[in-house]
Amino acid sequence: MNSLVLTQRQEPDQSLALTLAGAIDEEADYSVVKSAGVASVTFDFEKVKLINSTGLQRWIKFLESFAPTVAMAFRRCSIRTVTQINMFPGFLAGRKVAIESFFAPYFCEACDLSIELLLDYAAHKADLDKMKAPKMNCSRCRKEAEFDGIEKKYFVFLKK
Amino acid sequence: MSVHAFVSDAIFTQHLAPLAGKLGRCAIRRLPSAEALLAIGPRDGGPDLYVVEEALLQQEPARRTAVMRRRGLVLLTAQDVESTIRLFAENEALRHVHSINDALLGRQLETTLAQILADAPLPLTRYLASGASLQSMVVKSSQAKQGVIDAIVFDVAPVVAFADLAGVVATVTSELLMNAVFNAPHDAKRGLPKYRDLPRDETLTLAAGEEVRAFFGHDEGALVLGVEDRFGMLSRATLAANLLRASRIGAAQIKMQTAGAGVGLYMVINAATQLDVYVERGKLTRLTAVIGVSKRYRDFERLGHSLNYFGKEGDG
Repeated sequence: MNSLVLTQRQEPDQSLALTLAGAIDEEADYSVVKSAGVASVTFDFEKVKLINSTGLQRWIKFLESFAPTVAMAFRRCSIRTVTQINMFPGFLAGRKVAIESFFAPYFCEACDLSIELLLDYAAHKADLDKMKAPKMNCSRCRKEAEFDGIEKKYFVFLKK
Repeated sequence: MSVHAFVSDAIFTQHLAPLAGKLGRCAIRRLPSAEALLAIGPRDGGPDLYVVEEALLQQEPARRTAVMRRRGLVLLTAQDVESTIRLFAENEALRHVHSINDALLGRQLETTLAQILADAPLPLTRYLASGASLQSMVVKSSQAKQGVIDAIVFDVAPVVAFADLAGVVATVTSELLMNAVFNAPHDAKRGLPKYRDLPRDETLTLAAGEEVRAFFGHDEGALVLGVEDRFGMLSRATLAANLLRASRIGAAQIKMQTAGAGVGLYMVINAATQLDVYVERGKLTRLTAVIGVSKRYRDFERLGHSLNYFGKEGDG
């Protein structure tokens, strides 16, 4: 039983976009991914809800199956994914990976709610390069939300 | 039997003094110095317990080593999880390290001291506020893992907490279960692990007597997740070595050539504010993870990480 659903879109320019949904665990099956001839690959982690220890092993082996010349980018990294990259830099399999966007914990006082907001790296580069959380608005009430993590801990993965 | 505390005023008043009466007839006394602690000799009626704040030992470096060798020591530290693991690994006599950066310190100390004083595993309800219920499930196959995770996440869904709590719970449950199912069963005659080297994607059906019990419950401040097996094979030395390797960033952090990655318990202690390992050699292993529940993710991130090893015998 495959715990991870992989949706792949291959573009004429030899770029591959992979959307992952579910669990990166011992049952995740990457054999459906056609990595041959790919020039660049982008991974979308928004719907990844679990990454366990055996899943890390399989994931690293999967990344290693791409030729060293293949450019890699991560986008829409879930908080789970960011947490694991922070704890295990090996998640990047020693590759130079561009982080395009990721979710971060924020808190909206007006809604009294813990929320996850998507941060675009390019749009917030000035703040993020200083490991500073950008000002963001609540996705519900549009009022300013407060970053709800510890900046020097949460943004470490951007330096890896 | 007494609990001797070499701690600051604040820690004593807020967290230790309120435990009086909750630990049977055990008295709680405050000590003025490490010297006073070391002057206490063995007594009849069982070993004394020592709760010591690491920061105070920095002021008495000459006595630090001797204090760290004391049996029954519960060390309170302000260090991060990696340093806590290092303390545990580098001091062989040390079995109990608690974070003082924790709103739950008082209740954590209560369970730790109560478990040290007890002759049997502490009732799991002691980890929760009075009246909170605990549910349990018997797991007979590796394939049951997802069902257990789903059941626990479903139960936790109404808890008002930070957005990623479900992910934290799923991670801890997954690691505790996989560890118990694949690593715990040992061949009784040869004393060797039976399933440790099996690929983790292989469906493993446990033999009679090898079943694992998973349990969970929560109250307003914490969620308790745990797993028991009937083998009792996890030694303090193995636990310490595993956590130490997994906490060190580098090529050896994640094992790539073995069936298991060897980082599961490190994931658990990172997610949990307390990880208790209770072992009766050859009979029982119980791993209990306490996860702090808060509305704010930042409060969860700020919680410390405590580690306890309760080994009854044959600790290799």
